[in-house]
Amino acid sequence: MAKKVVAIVKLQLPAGKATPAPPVGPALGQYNVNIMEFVKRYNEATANQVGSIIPAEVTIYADRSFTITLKTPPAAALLKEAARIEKGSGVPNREKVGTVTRADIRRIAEIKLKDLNARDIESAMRIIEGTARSMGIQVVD
Amino acid sequence: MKRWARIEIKIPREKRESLIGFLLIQGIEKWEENEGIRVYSPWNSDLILFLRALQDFLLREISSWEEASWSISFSFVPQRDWGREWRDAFPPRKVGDRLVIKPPWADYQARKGEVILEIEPRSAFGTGEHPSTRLVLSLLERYIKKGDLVIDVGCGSGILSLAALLLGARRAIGVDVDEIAIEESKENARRLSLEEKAEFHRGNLLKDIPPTEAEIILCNIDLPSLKALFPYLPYYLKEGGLLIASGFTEEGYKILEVPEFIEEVRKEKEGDWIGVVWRRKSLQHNP
Repeated sequence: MAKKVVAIVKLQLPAGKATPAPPVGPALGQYNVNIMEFVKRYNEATANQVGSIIPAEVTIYADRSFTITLKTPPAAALLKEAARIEKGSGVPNREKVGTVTRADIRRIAEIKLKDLNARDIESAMRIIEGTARSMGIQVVD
Repeated sequence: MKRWARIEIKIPREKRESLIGFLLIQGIEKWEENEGIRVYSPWNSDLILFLRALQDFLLREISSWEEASWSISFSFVPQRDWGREWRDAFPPRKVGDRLVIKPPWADYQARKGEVILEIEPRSAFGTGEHPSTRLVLSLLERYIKKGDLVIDVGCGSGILSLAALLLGARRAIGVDVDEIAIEESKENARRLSLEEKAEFHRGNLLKDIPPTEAEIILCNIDLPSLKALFPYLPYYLKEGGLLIASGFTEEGYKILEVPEFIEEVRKEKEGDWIGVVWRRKSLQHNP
């Protein structure tokens, strides 16, 4: 018999570097999940992707057990990586913080196509470009 | 104990990626997502800076007709010592017959013959928590001889190199593609006053480390990397030298193509993970 799902918690975390500090502790603690077990399992599963942000979807069951599903990084994180922004300007739109190429936009659109709810690759690319603009990242050919 | 604030931001779906972009530009790398986005911040001056930047972001992104669908709420997180939970989760741990791995903050009274390896638990492969790390450590303990030269491929926190030195190796050479791993390895070596005997290189074994005549190669890496390196590893071993590897399961073990001048000496299992010791035979093979 399928186990009863109590909650699904989505967390965005730096790969291999999760700790019990917020958001992990409060988000999972409220369902009495073993926080350290989550931290260890997440870090093990993402150890080879250190440097990226890897979202985790945690399905919590009535018996407090849980499963972790890893997702692709958010488009904004992929843009930040592609533009090689270390810290980024706190004032997007006013300063250009970096540049990405059209090819980067296409590659990211392809990775995120499923999650974006876009009709086709072109409309997905437009969404990614909009995100880039709002971050202060310029798109060049 | 640190006090934490929680800021929950609810915005229309199509603005979500922009908000995430904003958070990343602010240097925020973790948050919780549900119908809104929940950001947690320690209760200090950084929080004020963040709230100001958030105000700027909202003024820029929001249009008047959609105001009704935006909301921001602020609350305190019930206080709890999250750091302590972290510390309690890494008790001193005995591996094999002699090695004891412990974090710097734990007290441990060494018994006769025990070797204490102090490691700050940070990255995943290298706290001694993972079965594959423990397999390599216990095999190393069993096979290492005083004065051995040891190469550690994918050194992570440096745990294997440092264990080798504590168990009598004369020199350990660690290599890892991850820069943070190299920094952590060096720091761990300093803490144990082993920095003179340990060298850690960022890069790739085949490109950055010239072939040597090591007595032992330690290889606790993922299966695709091991498969790619496997044919070349014997060139880093002297005749009779040992390759101790883990990081794969029984299935992975079956698809490994073992070079012909390598023979299996021992195979062990912990949970689903396999650890293997191979010996390098003479390169001149007799028909």
